[in-house]
Amino acid sequence: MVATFEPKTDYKVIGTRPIRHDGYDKVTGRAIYGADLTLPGLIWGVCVRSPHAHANIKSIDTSAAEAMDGVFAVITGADMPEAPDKLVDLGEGNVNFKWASNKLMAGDKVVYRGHPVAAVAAVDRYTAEEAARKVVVEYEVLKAVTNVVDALAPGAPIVLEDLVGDDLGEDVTNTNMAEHIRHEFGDVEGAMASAAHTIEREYNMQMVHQGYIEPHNATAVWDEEDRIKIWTSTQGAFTARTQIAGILQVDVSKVKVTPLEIGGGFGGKIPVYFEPIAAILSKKSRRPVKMVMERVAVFETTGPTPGGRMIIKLGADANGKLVAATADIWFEAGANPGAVIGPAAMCVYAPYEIPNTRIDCWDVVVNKPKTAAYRAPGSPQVAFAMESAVEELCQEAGWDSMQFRIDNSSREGTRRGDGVLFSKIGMEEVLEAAKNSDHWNAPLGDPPAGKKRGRGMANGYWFNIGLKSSVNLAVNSDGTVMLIEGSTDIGGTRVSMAMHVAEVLGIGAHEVRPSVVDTESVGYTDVTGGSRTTYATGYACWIAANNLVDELKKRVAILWDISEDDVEFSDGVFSSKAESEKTIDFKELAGKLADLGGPAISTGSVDLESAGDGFGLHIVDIDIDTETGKTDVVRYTAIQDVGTAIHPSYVEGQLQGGAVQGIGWALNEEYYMEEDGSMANSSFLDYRMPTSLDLPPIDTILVEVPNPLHPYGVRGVGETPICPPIPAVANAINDAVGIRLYNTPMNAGSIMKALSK
Amino acid sequence: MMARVFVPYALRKYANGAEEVDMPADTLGELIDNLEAAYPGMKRHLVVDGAIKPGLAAVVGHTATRRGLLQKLENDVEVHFITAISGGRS
Repeated sequence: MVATFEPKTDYKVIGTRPIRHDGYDKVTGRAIYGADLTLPGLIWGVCVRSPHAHANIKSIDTSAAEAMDGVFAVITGADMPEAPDKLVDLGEGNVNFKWASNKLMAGDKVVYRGHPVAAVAAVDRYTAEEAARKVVVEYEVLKAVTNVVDALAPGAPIVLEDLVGDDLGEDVTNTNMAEHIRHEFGDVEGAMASAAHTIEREYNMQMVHQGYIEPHNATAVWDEEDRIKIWTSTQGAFTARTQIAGILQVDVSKVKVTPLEIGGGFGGKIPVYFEPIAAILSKKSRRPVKMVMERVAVFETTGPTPGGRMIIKLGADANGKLVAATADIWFEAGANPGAVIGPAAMCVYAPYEIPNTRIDCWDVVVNKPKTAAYRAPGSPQVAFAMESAVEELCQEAGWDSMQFRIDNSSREGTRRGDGVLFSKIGMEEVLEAAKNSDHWNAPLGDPPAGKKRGRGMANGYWFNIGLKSSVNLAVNSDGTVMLIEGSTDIGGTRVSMAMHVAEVLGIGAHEVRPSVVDTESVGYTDVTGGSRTTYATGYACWIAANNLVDELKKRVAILWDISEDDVEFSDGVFSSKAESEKTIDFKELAGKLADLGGPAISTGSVDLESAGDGFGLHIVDIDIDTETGKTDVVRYTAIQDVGTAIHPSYVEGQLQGGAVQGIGWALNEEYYMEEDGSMANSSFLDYRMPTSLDLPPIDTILVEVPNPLHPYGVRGVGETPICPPIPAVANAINDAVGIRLYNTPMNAGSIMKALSK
Repeated sequence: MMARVFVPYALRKYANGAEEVDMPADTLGELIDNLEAAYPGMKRHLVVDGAIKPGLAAVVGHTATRRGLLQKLENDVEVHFITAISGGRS
């Protein structure tokens, strides 16, 4: 049975806004990131990368590089251990060791531009780069396929000759289709045929990158005892360890991963890239090897999120109730299988109750970098299609689209598109908050001269995951508590974990000192991703803190020479049940522990199911310059059911960050691909992400529907907010200038092209 | 215990096209064995090396189980087999 909790509101620490423990180190530059790390005898590694997106490797000559002064090791695909064709779960995503190994270092074929074909370790970065230029590779260039339509066309070049695809349970070969899945419930065709209003539209999206500021990096030592030490920027030290051990074919106990500070990940730092290569270079050179990726390589070779093609058909009765829906979804996997089609299917209809549904999804291999998770992987794409179609259906039928969303809202007992029933969710509460919001009820106002103004809205959904987390606690003699955790801190989780502990112990958040540690210093912990960390690691903190209270009751029993069953604890104070005037607070007790049995420690660990379904709705006002097509966001409000906001500032920050990334995806961002499979805009100059100068402040409305599965009611919050912005912007563009855009990015060129028709 | 199994679309061919079937079982492992007995050919799509097939999630009730084949089943509980968060073959 899954434990459930009654909602509480009388918190002392939960819901406050203490300054994050790592704040000063971050803003002063003292925090240690991968590029800062140095070790005695450290040398540099760099990759030799393919200039072609698709080519056979006819030969590699490394002799000139190996002969250079200052070069300690050169490796190629021949140095990579043969990794098994085995799929392993990574929490948010999984890894097939064979494909992962091939992604890191090509064997006899390159399948994406920038694919490493060799790596060099030398005394310094410049020597390594010069040596890399001396590696001679002879290619037989093949035609590249860079989109799902071309990849599935008859006679298309085959990216992976040994791929065996799964077409609804049947094996297929000589194909770029890795998998085709279907969910179908009810009488879809009958219900669609009976619908009073139907709409069918096709949507196309370009691949986009997470755009984290800190590039990938890794430092490795392969020591004399065949133990491998890795320092890296990762969202999950333990899942990095799993991948490294699997790719290098060593036991996990041989690998120690130390997570350094992380400058953004958003899902893209779950896969490993340099770590196994640096380890092999270290083994060969017998020195520590450090590798830091260039920005071009980050774009060209590390996991973006899929672009693809979607066709949505909706049917509604004369009263405005949805009766049927179909979705056909083709996603680019990149150069290895594994696009996020499962989550897309989970999310596409989630905000709505629709009795008859079908979803078909295809995972398609193309000559682009292997995709990775990106904030609600798969959901923003299907939200763009679904929420655009809903708006257009309402326009054609003459319905108020806010009321339509309310009338068709999912609720407890609604069946998701993949068949799973929702438990307690907050979609209706979010819609109510949106309908009553100041933004929704405010006049649109007049745009500046030469511009037209419009308002749009859209729903979004992410299911949020639970999984494994472990923490340790130890009491210091001054009444503070050390918190040891395995969750890398990307968005302020040190403080939210400390708050979980402080609330139980009745002390301040800053009296708990959190540390993120390596894989040999705490129990297994899954990735910081899937919007799971505050939920699952926080739950583990709550367990550990309660265990600590139990341990301390034993010490109080020694102090007062009573049974531990006669000790009570409330608001940070221990008291005797029999003699209520006999009390001792947490801090005073901590100072006496040396004489009461010594150090007091505790642990907490969990392996949890869902972190509670997350629903949001965003409202956006935009101005469009009708002469240039430039879009300016002038007002934005993100509304979301967040369960309980542990640290409201960081919950608001998640909503704001997700909105900003979604706006960038909507208006500007894309992998602009040349015909030969190269990316034409692989720099932050040309890959245009929004900055604080581009956008107004993002308003937030936190709707708190406590999650009964968490002791404080936490739901995952970090991913839902990237789902609504793309369709909300599309709907606002339509409202402003009357055009409906079906492709992203909806940039100035697209708008001007549509306006000129 | 009697569970209500939502048969994945790709496996409905083994279950005479049924969208849902009722199946007695106390655990998820027993349920899959009973499915195989009733509809031969289904198990290899659900279980590999004595565990839920990688890339697949078994949803018992409202959430994906973390107990695998050992997951206990309550009477009338819904069981779904869906593609895991990772997406397609990887």
